[in-house]
Amino acid sequence: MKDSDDQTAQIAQSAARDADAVLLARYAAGDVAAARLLAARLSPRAYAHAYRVLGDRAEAEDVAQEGMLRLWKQAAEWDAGRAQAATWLFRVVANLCTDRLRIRRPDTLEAVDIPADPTPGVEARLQDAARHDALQAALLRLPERQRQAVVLRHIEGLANPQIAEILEVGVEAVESLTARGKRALAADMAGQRDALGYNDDTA
Amino acid sequence: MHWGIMMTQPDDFDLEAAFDAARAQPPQMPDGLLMRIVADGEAAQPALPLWRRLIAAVGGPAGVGGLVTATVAGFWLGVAPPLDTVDPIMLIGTVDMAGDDGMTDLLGFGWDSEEG
Repeated sequence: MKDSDDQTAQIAQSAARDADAVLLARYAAGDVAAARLLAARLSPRAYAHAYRVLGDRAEAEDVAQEGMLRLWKQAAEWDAGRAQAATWLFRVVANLCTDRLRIRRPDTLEAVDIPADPTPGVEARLQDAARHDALQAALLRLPERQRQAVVLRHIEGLANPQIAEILEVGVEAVESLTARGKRALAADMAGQRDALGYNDDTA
Repeated sequence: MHWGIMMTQPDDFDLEAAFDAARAQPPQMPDGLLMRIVADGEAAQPALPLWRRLIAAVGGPAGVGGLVTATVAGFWLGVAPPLDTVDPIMLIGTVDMAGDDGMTDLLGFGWDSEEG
């Protein structure tokens, strides 16, 4: 069902690849404007991915800045035929997110989980929240690999082969991660909706 | 049955709409982050060798071409004699000869006084 989406994504990807490769070459040749253009093109997506995976603005900010810093340092030896800048950056950001989640795992599971038994505060907050906030909360309850795959596939709109490159797994593994992630997400959100009684604005 | 419930419950929830909403409102970068990233980029930018910086300073290869043309043209203007003037370089070695030939006789006293 996603074949045409994949083709569209791949065409967009190849156009972006060329533009980013040209900008990286200009950056490496000393063009200051290229640094601004690359930052404007790539860093919002790096930040957005980090935020959706980590659920924390300050941490996402650090990860985006660190990911871009690694890109700057890599630019002089950039091989345009080897990797697309956006894919490369997503892979760095995904790995930085994994590292941070691994470090903080013991003490933040509790903070990430929304109580199953809704207190009035939680209920009010969730009812006021836009649909994407509910999605964000549910994303943070997914296992980390599924979360990364679902965000890259269904929110960033990347093609499976590109996600496979980012997560350093096979395409079949990506399909499995996104399918399981999406099922768990739908079940979780449907459950939250039923438990919290906010079916009017989410269905 | 239980499996049927598990399969239909996700379909009841419109996950695609939630994804659409998330795409429509991506997390916005905090103020100043883009500028910090650009500053990092400028600081990490590879330094160009001196000759590349000089070429860039005069406007790239086209600027260098212009400079070369201007230099050659200026040099030529400096050494080339005006068209209506005897070329001083051509006169080298001829001045003494002029002194030795019959010019002195032609211009000397006596030549024209014979007329009067």
